[in-house]
Amino acid sequence: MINPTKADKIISGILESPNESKTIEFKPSIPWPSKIDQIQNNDKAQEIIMGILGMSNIRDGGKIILGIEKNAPGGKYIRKGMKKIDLKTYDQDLIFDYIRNFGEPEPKFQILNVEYDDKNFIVFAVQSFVIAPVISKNNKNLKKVHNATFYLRTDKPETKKVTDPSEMREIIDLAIEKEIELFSTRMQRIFQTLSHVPAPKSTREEMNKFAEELKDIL
Amino acid sequence: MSPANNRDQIIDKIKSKGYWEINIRPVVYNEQRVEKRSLRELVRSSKVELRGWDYPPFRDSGGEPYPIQNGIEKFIDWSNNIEFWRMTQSANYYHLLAIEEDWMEPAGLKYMHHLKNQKWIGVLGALYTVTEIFEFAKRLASHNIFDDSMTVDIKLHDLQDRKLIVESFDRVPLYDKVAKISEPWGFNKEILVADLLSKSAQFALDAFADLVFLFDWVNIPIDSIKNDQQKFLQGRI
Repeated sequence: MINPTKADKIISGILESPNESKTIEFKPSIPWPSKIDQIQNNDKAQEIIMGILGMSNIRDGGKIILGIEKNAPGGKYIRKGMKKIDLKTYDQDLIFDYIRNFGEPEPKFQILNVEYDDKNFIVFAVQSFVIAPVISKNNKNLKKVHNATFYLRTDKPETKKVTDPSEMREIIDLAIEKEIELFSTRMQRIFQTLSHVPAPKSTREEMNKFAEELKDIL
Repeated sequence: MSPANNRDQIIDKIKSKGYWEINIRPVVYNEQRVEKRSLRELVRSSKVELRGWDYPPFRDSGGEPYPIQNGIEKFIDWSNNIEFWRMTQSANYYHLLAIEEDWMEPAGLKYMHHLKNQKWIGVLGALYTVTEIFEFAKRLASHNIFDDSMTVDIKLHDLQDRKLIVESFDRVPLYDKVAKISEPWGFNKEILVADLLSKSAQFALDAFADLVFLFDWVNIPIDSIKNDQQKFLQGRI
């Protein structure tokens, strides 16, 4: 079992008013399969793997939180917490070893057992890819996870296989942007003098024009 | 009721307690800097989603931002998230954001009941907010809408007698950190876009240090704060 930690500000904020979004996914309490071969027929575990792959390919990553259920279809999310028997099946190292093999490059994530409101929740905190987007790798014949595919978490919110050119474009653009950011940071370090060039200031006339656009709400 | 009436009510509500006021804009005014039809996508693709709540909020049960004469607007009033923002064709972004701590339900204060009926702001909450502001500014700038330089103007209103609190159980608490000024805190800077693209997190740290100075917090554990900021930006816990 993973040692429990108290919910930090971000997790507390999410759990206080649970609402799914592009970067937040909720799941009910489930046991984690004790052997990698058992994932093959476990749809819930495969959905978590796809969620991790999908969140790896969006700019801000995301969090999958287990122990939350809907009170009815389309209804509110309820913080039920993890069942004690399920919670015991979570082993950080083992799960990390399982899941990282399903992505190339390996997806980056943490697994935590978080305490909130006298209940426990399993949190997968997924980081966005660093340079190259994560491609799925299914060498265990999982039913739900496709091989050599990009997964993406969308605004809907849902995790889906990329099938649309605009979704593919979004991932490529993000990779280019990250590369440029890295390059720009390096260049800035080399040419430190750039930072000493003062930015031009707005004239009074310019500032008035910007203020004029807001006069009905100021 | 029209969106403008609802909007005015939300703005009044935000201004009834403490609030952040953010203005990100180019240095040079150009009325037609961004095409109207590109504005939604510009904000959508620049929003920051690091804590389960977008900065700025883009879509809720009320739908996506609605059009106005020269731009788009969005307001939201959900739980302790009360916000209004506008983006115009001149790339003039204006955002009013209620201090969430002022609208927390007593139940949300769980381990901080002693703060009930008090004015306070959390260290991490403030750090995350300024980090989101500069990250959003950076993402807007990466769309090449500001030319070479831009202005970032942030104010925090209603500081008088507001306490600065460490909202975490496993950290050393702050004692007697209370702001004693009646004017809003302000951070106004003209920034080169190249600088913002490579150092947005540092700008946010500078702004944060400047803000907490007003609470008489001088010896900030900057490495620890920097670590918190990096964890936040990378989605780590």
